[in-house]
This record gives sequence, C-alpha cells and structure tokens, in this order.
Amino acid sequence: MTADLLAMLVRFATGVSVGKVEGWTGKPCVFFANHSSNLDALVIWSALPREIRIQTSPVAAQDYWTKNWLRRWISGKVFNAVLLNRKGRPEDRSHPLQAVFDMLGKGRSIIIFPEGTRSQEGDLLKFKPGIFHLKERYPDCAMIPISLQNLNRILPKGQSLPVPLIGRITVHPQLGEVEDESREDFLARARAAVASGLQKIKCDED
Amino acid sequence: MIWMMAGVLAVLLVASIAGLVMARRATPEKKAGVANYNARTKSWWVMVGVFAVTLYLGHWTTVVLFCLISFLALREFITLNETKGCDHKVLFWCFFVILPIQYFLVGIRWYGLASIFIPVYGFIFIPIRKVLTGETKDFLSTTAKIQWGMLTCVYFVSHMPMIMTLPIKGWEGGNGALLFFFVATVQASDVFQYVWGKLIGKHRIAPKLSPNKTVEGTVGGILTTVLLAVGMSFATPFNPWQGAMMALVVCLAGFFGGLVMSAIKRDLGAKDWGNAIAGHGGVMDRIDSLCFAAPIFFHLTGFYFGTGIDPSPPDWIFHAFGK
Repeated sequence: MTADLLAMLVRFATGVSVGKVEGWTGKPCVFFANHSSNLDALVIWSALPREIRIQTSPVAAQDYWTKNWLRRWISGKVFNAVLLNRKGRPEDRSHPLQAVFDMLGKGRSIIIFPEGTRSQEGDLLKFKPGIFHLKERYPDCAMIPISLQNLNRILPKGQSLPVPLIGRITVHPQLGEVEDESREDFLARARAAVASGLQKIKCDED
Repeated sequence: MIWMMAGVLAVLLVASIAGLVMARRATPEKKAGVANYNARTKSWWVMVGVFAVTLYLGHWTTVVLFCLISFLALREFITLNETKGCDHKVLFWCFFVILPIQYFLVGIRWYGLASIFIPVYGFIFIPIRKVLTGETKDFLSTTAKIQWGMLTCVYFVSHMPMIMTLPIKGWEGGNGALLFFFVATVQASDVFQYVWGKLIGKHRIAPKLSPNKTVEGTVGGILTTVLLAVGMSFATPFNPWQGAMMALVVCLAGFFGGLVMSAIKRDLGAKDWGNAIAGHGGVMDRIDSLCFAAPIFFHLTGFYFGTGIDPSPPDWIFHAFGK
C-alpha cells in the first residue's frame, strides 16, 4: 500500500514509467542501469510495472540508505533493498556480493548499478565486474539493461534538493547469450547496451 | 458565462460525434490521424471541465490552477533546454520560491508587485544566484534561458488569473466570464486554425517553423474566432465591435506566440514539449498561444475598461510592517 503510493508519487513527480518489460517471464532477473543520482534506484523501482516491482529489490549503498530513519524505512520496509557495504570485504570474508546472490537465490529480481558510484554530469563510467559474477552464478537470470536520462539533472551528485524536471527510462531487450565470452567483452557489451539509450533527452515520438 | 459554457459544450459534443463517425468510416491509412483527433477531443473535455470548475470555485482556485500550469510548463521548458549542473540551485529557487511567490502576489491582489516581481526582482536574483556558483562557462546563455522560461511560463501565464482581479466599472464579479472569454477565444482560434487548415489548407505559412500551419487555416481560423467572439461579447464588458477587435488582437498575439514557441522547439530538435496531455503533446504545446496573448489582453482591457488598478499592497501587509 505505502509502496504503491510511493511508486505512484515518484512516477508522477519524475514523469518516468515503464509500460511493459520484454523478456519478463516471472523468473528473477537482473536489471542494471547507469547511475547518476541518488534517486536512480527509487525511480527504476517505481517505474516498473507492479507485478515486477513487488518482487524486485534495488542494490544500494549501505552508508547512504542507513543515514536517517526515513532512508532506513524506505530501503528496509518499502523496497526491501539489498544494502552493500562499499568499503572493503565483509568481516566473515564472504563474497562482497553475497547479499545479492542470496536475494536472487530467494527468487527476487534485483536492480544494480554496475558503475559502482554515481557519475558526475551524467556520463557513463566503466562497469565493475559484479554483474559478470552474477551472470556466472545465475546463468538463467535475464540480464536487462536500463538507461536513465535526466536524473542527474533532477538530483545531481552533491545536491540535497531536487529540481522537478522530466526524466526518462528506457528498458532494453535482455542481453543475449554469447558462448565463452570473456569478462571484459561481457562488461563492454552490457555497457554499450546501457549507453545506446543515453542520447540527449527528446520528446519527439508522436 | 452559462451561455458561453453551453456553447463550448455544444461544440465539444459536435466534435466528439464527428470523431465517432470518422472512426467508423476511417480507412486504415487514416486511422492514426483520426485516433489523434479523438484523443485531442477527449483531452478537451477534461481541460474544459477542470477549467470551468475552478473558475466556478473562485479566484483562489483559479490562481492555484494556473500556478500548476506554470509549474508543468516551466518543467517542460527547462527539461528540453539543457541547463548546466551549476544551475541546479537557481532552478530550485525558480520552481519552488519565485513561482509560488508570483502566484501568491496575484492571489492577494497586490498588483503593484505581481506585475514587476519576475522581470525586476526575479531577473536580478537569477544571475546573482548563478554568479555565486563561480561558474562562468555559458553564463549569459544559461541565464537567458532560465529568464526566458520564467518570463513565458510563469510571468505571462500569471496574467490569466490576474484578469480575475482586474476592477472594471459596472462589471464587478464578472471577471470569471472575462477570463473564460479570453481563454475560449485564444483556444478556439487554435482549434479553428487546425480545422480550416485540415479542410482547405494549401499554402504553408511558415514551413520551417510549423509545417502544419497554412495561410487558409490561419485566416479562416482567426475570422471564425472573431465572429465567435462577437457572439460571446454580450457576456463581457465589450460591445460587439470591441469584442471583435479584442479577439483579433489576441488571436494574432496567440498565433505569433505559437510560432515563437515552435521556433524554440525546432531549434531544440523536438516536436512536442512533452506528453502530458494525450493528443496535444505537452502543457506548453497547449498554452503557447495563451502565453503571449494573456498580458496583452490584460493590459488592453485594463487600459480601456479598467477603473485603475491599485498597485499598493493589501492592508494586512501594511499592518504587518507596523505602518
């Protein structure tokens, strides 16, 4: 209920929504997107159709999302985020992405930002190898690229107050299978898919 | 007012029925055009409904409605105009401080400040806030874009609710009808230009700016609207002759407003300002002609028919400052 309301509010405020996700079969999948704003996770999660949203968890930075009660409440209760500690390995020396693996193992989809950090001015940084490990461990999960535009203008890095511009989200078809692909090739292919939806924002479709 | 409303509803009804008939008869290659026509008509019902209800509820609801329209239009304008990262703070001020203050001033009927607030204080504030960021690249062009956005989307649009506060001798309480007359005239002009253009349009009037505008459509549309305005003039302080002249002036201003806005749009490489209103495009696509016509209509009406607007602040502001 609260979650639906929040999603509606975010869709209304940013003008971002997704009609249909191709390749969605109900099985867990990995949505990966460019990262330019603290709003990104919230916006993608809100934009997804309800049946996908209720079983999708964003992967988010622990330091940011546990800072105050509101963020803790949103990340914990509303969208069930997987919070990652970005500083070093966990104490029990498990895999840094263990929490993400657990989430996929439980049958939930995830939203992840392979750049690892927010880019300044909205350009696309190099992808970290995390999503490659995800693909290796869960080869059945569809890898779905997402491009977010204008979010870095709505809430840029280093700003605390948003400006109400219109954002745009493009959900691309899932990445196809390529036999014996190296890590670098896979990351480059994933990055190119996200980059393909990042031209200047235009409202030219009729 | 009731008669004008009834007239608009009758036109909408005819348009909707025509749409239904066309949808039945449409050949496959014309399907898209008819679907767009029907989406437009549907949106008109919603827009007319919302506008009529807010006018009926009074002057504050009208102020709030136009405040919202300004907000959405400014948002479309700034989204398409690439502003820089360093403009973030000044944009926040524009959306959440300057814009609401402008409408608050209109709401409390402080004409003296509302009529200069954005061009004087807003325009001085915007470059000052920008200069505080220390960024000099494209300083003038981004400042100018933001100022232009504030001028057209906020300042010009706010002249429509200002019509609600214009004192006219022997016309007390009739300002809602006057605002309705203005909006109906300018929008009817858009609609009739579109209809005449579709029916008999041949010669393009501004092929580079607006490929759908034709000489036949423009002339036919404006003439039809002037006749319509003559018919509506009994609901305004104008006599039929004055009503016709007013309509001609606002139609021309609206026509050029539309052209100017489409020039900006083309330059930015977009067809529409957004997709907020089904069939029409963005909010800005619907109000571009109103923007330019509103201040002219407001001042001409005030000049000829007004009893002089009091520019001093409301009494409670004087009291608040102990005067």
